Amino acid sequence: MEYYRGQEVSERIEQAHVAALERRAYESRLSQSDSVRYGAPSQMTDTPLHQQGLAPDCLLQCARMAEHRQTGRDPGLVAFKQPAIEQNIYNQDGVTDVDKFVSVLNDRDGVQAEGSYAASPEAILDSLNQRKSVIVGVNAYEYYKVESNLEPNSGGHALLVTGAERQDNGRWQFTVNDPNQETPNFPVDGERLLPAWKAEGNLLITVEKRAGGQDGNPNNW
Amino acid sequence: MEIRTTGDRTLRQCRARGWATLETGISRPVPEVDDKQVLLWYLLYRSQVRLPYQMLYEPVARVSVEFETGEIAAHVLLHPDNPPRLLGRYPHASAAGLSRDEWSATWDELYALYPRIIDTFAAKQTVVLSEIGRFRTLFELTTPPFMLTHYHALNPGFFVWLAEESHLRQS
Repeated sequence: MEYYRGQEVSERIEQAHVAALERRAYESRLSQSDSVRYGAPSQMTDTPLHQQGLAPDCLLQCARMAEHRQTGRDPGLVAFKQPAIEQNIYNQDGVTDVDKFVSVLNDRDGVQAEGSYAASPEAILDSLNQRKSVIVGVNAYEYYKVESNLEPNSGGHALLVTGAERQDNGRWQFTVNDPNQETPNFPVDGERLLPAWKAEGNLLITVEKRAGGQDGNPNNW
Repeated sequence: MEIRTTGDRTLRQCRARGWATLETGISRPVPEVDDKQVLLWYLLYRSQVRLPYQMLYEPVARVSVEFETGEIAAHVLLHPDNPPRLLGRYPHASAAGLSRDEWSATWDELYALYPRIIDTFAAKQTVVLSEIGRFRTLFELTTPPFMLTHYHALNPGFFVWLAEESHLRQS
């Protein structure tokens, strides 16, 4: 039993719950690791990971990762945040208009972007094979529910897909750079990613280097 | 109207109007009867995953929709001049202790109870349903303590009614 400001307090029950919660998250990641596949070498698994910390900047960080990979230069977060603020599509809770944010990407010198909805997993695969960076929107509850007891209607989240493969049994396997995680190319099977993506309207943003720009693939420098 | 999809639809409408960002979450609704019309009130707040938790921030707005149509009736900004404070992390201890299947079943049951609770509250049904106490239990189980005051502020009368009906059923 511990004391806080003269009162007896016990955190034993909460600690037990928290331990169970964290164990479940680790077990979930370990089970994913068993089937790790990094996609074809020509895909985008050499994309640098940029984390968002406590800021609501998942989409901005995904855009930063995409440009970093495509041009070989880290543009920094401010390269996207400042114009988004100036265009009145960013507030203290993040980007308010995803469609207009695509135009922020297109204002960058080194890259060009295209946004769409109702895309298919084949579109992800094709884009990666064409050396495009792929940003997808996912429903946060659907995506993370295997790891923790979250609230439904938790809003959305942006991921950068770095690898995609359709396996012989027809199942999809992906790797992602999640701004919420410190591990790049985190393996995610299609049963987890695709429903979460569908719940967010199959939002897909592809980013490629602008014609005449330098290829950001370190192997081509 | 199915309550889970009403929340999703309302959030999409809020995004389309620039009231919500990608990382804005929406609460479950609190009903209000306004001149025999049933409104559902929601909170909008930043809901950001930091595994294994979800960080919940002070609500930035209240939104009401018509229960019958799902159309937005009102949007009220809260504290527009101040950045929202981090209120706490989710799940709280009692919610974290449930298995994934138990957690999923808890929400399914809560959402399934909602329409009957709303109809009873709006006096469209005259019989006090046995589910009222169960609804209250599930609502409190899924709501972190630091968010309760924000839910109550949406319509204090609903929570007074809920407590009274639950008490009547027990006595």
